[in-house]
Amino acid sequence: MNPDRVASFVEGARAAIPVCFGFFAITFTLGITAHAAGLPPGELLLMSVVVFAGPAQFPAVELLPLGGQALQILVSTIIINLRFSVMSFALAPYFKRVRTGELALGAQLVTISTFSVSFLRFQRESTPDNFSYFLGVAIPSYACYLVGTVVGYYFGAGIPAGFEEGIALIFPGYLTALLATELRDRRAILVVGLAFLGTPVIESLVPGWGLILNAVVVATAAIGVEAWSESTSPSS
Amino acid sequence: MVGEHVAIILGMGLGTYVLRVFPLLLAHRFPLPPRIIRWFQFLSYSIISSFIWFGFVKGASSLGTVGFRGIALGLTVLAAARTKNALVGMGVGVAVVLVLSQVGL
Repeated sequence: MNPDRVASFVEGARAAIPVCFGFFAITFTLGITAHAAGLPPGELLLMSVVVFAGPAQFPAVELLPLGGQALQILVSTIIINLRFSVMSFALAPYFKRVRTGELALGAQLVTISTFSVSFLRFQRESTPDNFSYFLGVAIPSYACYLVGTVVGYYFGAGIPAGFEEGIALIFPGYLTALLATELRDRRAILVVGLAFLGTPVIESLVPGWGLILNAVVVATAAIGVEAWSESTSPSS
Repeated sequence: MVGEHVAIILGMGLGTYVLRVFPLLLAHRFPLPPRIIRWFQFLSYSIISSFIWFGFVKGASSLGTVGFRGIALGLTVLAAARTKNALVGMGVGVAVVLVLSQVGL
């Protein structure tokens, strides 16, 4: 096996450890919710395998046992998961020499967590094999996601509230720390700050769309300012 | 009923998979211009930042909870920037949240 692929995969797997904790916490809660809603465990596990997206699964596990909600579940799933398209577009330039079949399989593992860790790593510098790094992050994370789903379903009751609070913040905390250690580009730092401050504003104006709409507004403004400053700089 | 549930779940999976795979294959086949790639970089930073905001505010039951999460966020940034180690930063942030939630803030 190609040593570059192995080294990149192992590096990604190390970076996946906090993601695993975060995923476990999310799906543990998902398991509790599904159990309380009366969804059979096989259906919950199937959903975690094929959807692999917590924010879309929470409403679905509540609605599915009620019956007659197919259209609502499918439409809300598509709307909530539209963000994956942006992430796939953003990752594509780092996977230039990957075979189409491998890409098609790896695509299933794009989530905000696997994307964020990989994207921030690639901003520092390319790994010897970016796609293997991504798989190193994504495959253990996917396994934790599925294990958390099952454990939460069967053993979810009785976790202390304080620990739940701490566990829930593992992944946002890790992303914050990654940004603090990886970000060097001044414009990117400005974008991160503006996006953080703008999210509650956009979310209050258009509830449920804060993440994507805010990102589009901030990114478009940033690219506009960058293009303008390049066109007016003396060297252009 | 079970068959209907399975069909809905498979539909959710298929729809989500198309959203994931289509842009990846499209941008792989037709490379994006540098300006669009840069726009996606900014978009990605924005999404990550917004996600952090949602992660810290979601499920907060009171202003006090948001406050101590804010303290944890600040200490996370300080610890990570000082040590250049994301795991240390995350550990400090989570420890602060655990301690403050245990003392009832």
